[in-house]
Amino acid sequence: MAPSVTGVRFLHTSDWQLGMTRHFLQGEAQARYAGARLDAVRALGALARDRRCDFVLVAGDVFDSNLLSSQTVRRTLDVLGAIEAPVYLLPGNHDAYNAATIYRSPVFRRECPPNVHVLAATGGTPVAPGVELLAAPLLSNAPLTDPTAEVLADLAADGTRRILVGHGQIDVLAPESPGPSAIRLAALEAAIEAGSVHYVALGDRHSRLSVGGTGRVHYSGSPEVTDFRDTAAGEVLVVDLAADGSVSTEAVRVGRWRFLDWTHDIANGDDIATLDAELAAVADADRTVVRHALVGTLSLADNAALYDVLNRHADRLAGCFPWDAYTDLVVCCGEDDLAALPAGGYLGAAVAQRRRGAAADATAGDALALLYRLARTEAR
Amino acid sequence: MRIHRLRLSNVKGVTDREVAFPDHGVIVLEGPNEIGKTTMIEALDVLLEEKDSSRKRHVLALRPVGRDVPTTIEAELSFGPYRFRYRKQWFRQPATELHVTAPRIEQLTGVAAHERVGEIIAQTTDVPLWRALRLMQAAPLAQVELGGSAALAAALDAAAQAALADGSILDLDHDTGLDQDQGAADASERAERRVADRTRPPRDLSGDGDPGAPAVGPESLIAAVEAEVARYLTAARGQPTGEYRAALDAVTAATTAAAAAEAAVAEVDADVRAHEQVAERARDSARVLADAQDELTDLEARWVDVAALETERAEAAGAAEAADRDAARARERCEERAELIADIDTRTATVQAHAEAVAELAGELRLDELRLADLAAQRQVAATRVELLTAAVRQADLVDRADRTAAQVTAMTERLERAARADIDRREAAAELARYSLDEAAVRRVERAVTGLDLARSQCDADSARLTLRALEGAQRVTIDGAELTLDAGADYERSLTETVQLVLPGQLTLTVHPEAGAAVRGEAVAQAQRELDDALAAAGAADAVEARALLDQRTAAQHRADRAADRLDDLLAGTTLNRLRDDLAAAEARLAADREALAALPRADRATPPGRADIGPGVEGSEPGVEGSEPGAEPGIEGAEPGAEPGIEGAEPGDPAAAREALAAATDDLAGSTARHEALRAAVEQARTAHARADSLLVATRRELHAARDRLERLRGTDPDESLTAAVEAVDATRTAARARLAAAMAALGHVEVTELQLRLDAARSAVATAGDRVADLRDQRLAIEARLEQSGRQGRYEAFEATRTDLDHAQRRLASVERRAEAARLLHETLQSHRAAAQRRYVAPFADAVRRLGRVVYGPDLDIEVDDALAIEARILGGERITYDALSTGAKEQLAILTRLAVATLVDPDQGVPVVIDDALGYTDPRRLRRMAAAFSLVGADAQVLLLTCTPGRYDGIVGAHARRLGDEPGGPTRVAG
Repeated sequence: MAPSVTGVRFLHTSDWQLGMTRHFLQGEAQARYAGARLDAVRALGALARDRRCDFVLVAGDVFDSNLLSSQTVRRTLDVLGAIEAPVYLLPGNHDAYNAATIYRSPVFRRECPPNVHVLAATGGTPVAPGVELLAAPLLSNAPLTDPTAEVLADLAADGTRRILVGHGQIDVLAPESPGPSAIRLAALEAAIEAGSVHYVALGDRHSRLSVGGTGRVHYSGSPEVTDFRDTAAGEVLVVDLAADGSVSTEAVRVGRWRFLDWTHDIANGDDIATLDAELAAVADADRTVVRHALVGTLSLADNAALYDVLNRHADRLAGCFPWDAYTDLVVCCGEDDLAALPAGGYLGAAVAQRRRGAAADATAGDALALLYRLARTEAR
Repeated sequence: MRIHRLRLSNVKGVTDREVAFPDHGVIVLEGPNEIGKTTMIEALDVLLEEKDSSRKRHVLALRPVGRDVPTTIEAELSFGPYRFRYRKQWFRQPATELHVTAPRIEQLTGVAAHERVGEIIAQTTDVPLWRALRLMQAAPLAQVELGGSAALAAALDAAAQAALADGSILDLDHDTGLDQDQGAADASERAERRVADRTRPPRDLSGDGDPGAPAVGPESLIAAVEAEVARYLTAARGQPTGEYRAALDAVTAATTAAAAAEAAVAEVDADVRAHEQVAERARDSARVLADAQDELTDLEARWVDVAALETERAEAAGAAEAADRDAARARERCEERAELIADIDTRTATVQAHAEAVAELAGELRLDELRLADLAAQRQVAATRVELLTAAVRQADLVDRADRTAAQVTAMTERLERAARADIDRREAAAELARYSLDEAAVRRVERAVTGLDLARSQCDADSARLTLRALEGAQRVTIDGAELTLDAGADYERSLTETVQLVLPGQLTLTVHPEAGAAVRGEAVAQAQRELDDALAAAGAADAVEARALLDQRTAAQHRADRAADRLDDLLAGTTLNRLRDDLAAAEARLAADREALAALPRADRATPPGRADIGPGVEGSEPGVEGSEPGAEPGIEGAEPGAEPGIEGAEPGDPAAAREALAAATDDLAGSTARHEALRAAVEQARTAHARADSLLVATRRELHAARDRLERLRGTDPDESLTAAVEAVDATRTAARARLAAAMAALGHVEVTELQLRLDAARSAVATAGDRVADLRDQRLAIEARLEQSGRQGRYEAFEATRTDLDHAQRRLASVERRAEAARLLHETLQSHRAAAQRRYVAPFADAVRRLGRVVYGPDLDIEVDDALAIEARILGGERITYDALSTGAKEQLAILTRLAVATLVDPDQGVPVVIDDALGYTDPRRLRRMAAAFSLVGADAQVLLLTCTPGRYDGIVGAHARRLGDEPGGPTRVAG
């Protein structure tokens, strides 16, 4: 129907969450992680160039908040400006297009590169002949309606290829409590079925996910991991929307950081050695954060050894810290430890008393460990 | 530790000396002062502790004075399983050589050798014990410091634990006094047995005998724990300090910062929400405004149409009103003219009526005036008659009174005369009465006096001697007291002899008889009675009693007369006096004279012709018809009264006051009636005059008004004849009809339009537009204000700042948790160790004290006891029941106990861990007997331990069984010189 409809290729990404802070990162790791998030954007820019993408589509939460420093904004704009394709930014719930929106801040307005476009208005934006973006920006960080409902109204299957850009939870993903602003998958699929919408680019989930059976509704996930619970983060989608309306997607990894949860049973020196070996085997250790949940009972000597191991790897890794909720290490004084502790006299009695308490009382275990350490230090 | 051999070369004053020691037992090193006994011990310390390169002061002190020779110390020693030969040379060619022979052969030199020995000592030897078990000459007599000795602690612990159930781990929590006491007793027993049997104490519990096992001093460990605690908590109060304090402060600061940053973010969030709400309300308000404006436009268009119709209606209404006003005015003028004409008619009639009334009033007035004159004449007649009658009454009264006064005077004169007579009677009676001086009392007094005299005389006679004379014959004459007496024969003369009686027989004798003494008295009584009688009679004015009585009767009669006269006088006077009666009479006579004089002064006529009542009546009555008859004509009535008046007055009778008064009363009434009638008529006449005058003036006034009204009518008719007024009314009525028709037409045109309602709706619509416009403007202002705030606050990177503070807080909390955990562990460890140490030290006391006691009883006898404190220092010695604190003991006793304590420790400690006991030049203050006993104590120890006794007194330790004596200074190469 439309005289000239072209196929387009674009990058679908979302949830960059620029400006995000991870509390568990210490010192320099925090700064490197912030840098890594921008690096991921650079990487996807390079990918867009390599794959000759027509544009880059960011489905919300470009920024982690509207209240960011000018430094963060400027660095972001520099990176965006370096991308050799138009970049469309959709305001999400973190960077909602509200009164305080970062997209109207003086820095952003003055210094926004020409290839960067903010999809602030609800509705269509042509991006190629016969192809338009249907933007459903969030105007509030707590919307009360399905933000895509408005753009889906009065659509005609007129041959125009439409890419709907939205941000929010799909109702089928949280069937128990969809919430008023949940995006209704049925409406999306109806529009797809009707031929008025051809691809739905969604943001909000930090893990990549294809929703429904059409193969046209996708969450791209965050291009760099943001949390230990992110199962498929660190990727972007390269989407081909052919002139005939068919769609193909390809996930490409751009993220370089990993947040790992490790659960180990630690019972003896062998287990510690295993843990040591596994930690040593972690690739890109300085970009890997390990949250360990260690469970077991350790002798004083093993405990000391374990802490040596963990401290050693904490230096190598971007982060290595216990998952408090799931860590259950009990230190007790084993027969072997007795040899190292002053056994005779009242010291021996004190040790005995604390040994009995160590199983139930972490402090008693700590006290024994301390005695162990001091005794060894004194002995040297 | 064992010393097998010690060789000194060029050490202080010792040029070269080698001493070999047996492995066990007491070694006595004997030698004179300054031979270098103490030097040997010092040399051993330096060998073990100082490097060959050392230039410390106490090392330099070993150098021989003034000789440039190397100082060499060499020893063969055993430490635990190690046995080695060790040699060091200082000052010249410093060198260190170590030859370990057991358990493995080792050859080391230099620093390596020195360090190896250090290792071996640390592994095997209780250095604190080695220091403690020596009693050096130069050191003060301190109690042995046993707290730091691991070997002793182990030994004591073993002894104490052996007392408890075998194999059980001592449980502090279950320690009881009973257990402890029991344990102490057992431990004491076992320790004693062990020492006695020379059995070895059980091995160290740590002990697998591994020579590599660290021998950590418990005190140093405790110090390390204390240092660890001090990192976190203050010593004084256990408050967080240092790292712990800093972590706490960091969390507090981070919390504050995070709260502030969060508030900053919340502020922006609140503004954003407010902005959304304001924007929503602004949209609503704009819609409301648009609606209101639409309605206003519609209403205003309708209003323009209605306005034209309304104008026409208003004009028509105005015209109709004007026409109404004109018609009313024309009709009014017509009515006014008619009223004026009617008014003139009325006024003409009024003037006529007034004129008639004036004439009538004038007639009436004249008649009344005539009658008034008539009445005045009548009144004059009556008045005259009253005057006459009044005079007549007065005369009659005067005559009457004079008559009564005259009668009064007569009566009074008579009464006065009688009274005067009665008065004279009274006076005479009084005079008669006055003549009698006696009274009833006086008479009775006389009679009493008579009786008294009789009595006295009788008395006198009865009592007195009696003189009785009897003439014996014839009449004898005798003179008795001068009185002659003739006694007839037989007649007796008898008298009582109350006084001297002189009896003279004339010529014959004189007989004087004297009464006895009492006679005089009796005589006197009689005389007294007589005098009384005489006085009474004199007073009564009587000669004797009978006369007195008679006189009294006469007097009584006179009294009666006087009383009667007085009564009569009183009756006549009737309360007044005679003089007053006379005065009254005089006054009455004067009044009578005055009345008569007044009567005489009356006019003659009054007296001469007393009027009769019958004469007066017709005169007065006759006047009535006169008055009545005067009615037809005023003049005759008045004249007719005059003749009747005169006869009435003349007929008055002065002698009859009652009749006169009656006539006067009638005349007075007549006058009053005349006067009243006259007054009434006069008032009526006055009124009539006033009415006439008023009617007359009213007539004048009405006439004037009538003329004025007629003039006005003439004037009005001159300008507007009556016919033109009527024509004007008709013309105006036509105009009015036309105007009303026009108004009706306009009203019809307006039809059903509710102008007022439309106006209200229009006003409401305008108000709604204004209100909605204000709200829109207000919301716009609010929105702009919020945007202005966000312009500021939204660009400050508050979120990142907040995240940063949260990260800080997170890290601070983790740090704090970590420090807290470590601090808590250190505190717990410290507390545990402290409590166990205290408990252990309490437990060690018993076996230690037993060991000391056992040796001490050798020296002091079986009744010795000692008290040991928790730090294993001796508190007191009890000997023969006498308790003496350690400090109070003599120097000798202190020294003995110090040695015994060290020996006791030596017996307690595991021989493998034992160290030599060194006693340098002691017991100098000990008496020979006790010295021997001390020697016995030494003998008890020597089996397991090396005991080095240094002395300068030969034979001091001779009593020690099995002692090895070494005489210093005897060896070859002895002292070449004595050090200064």
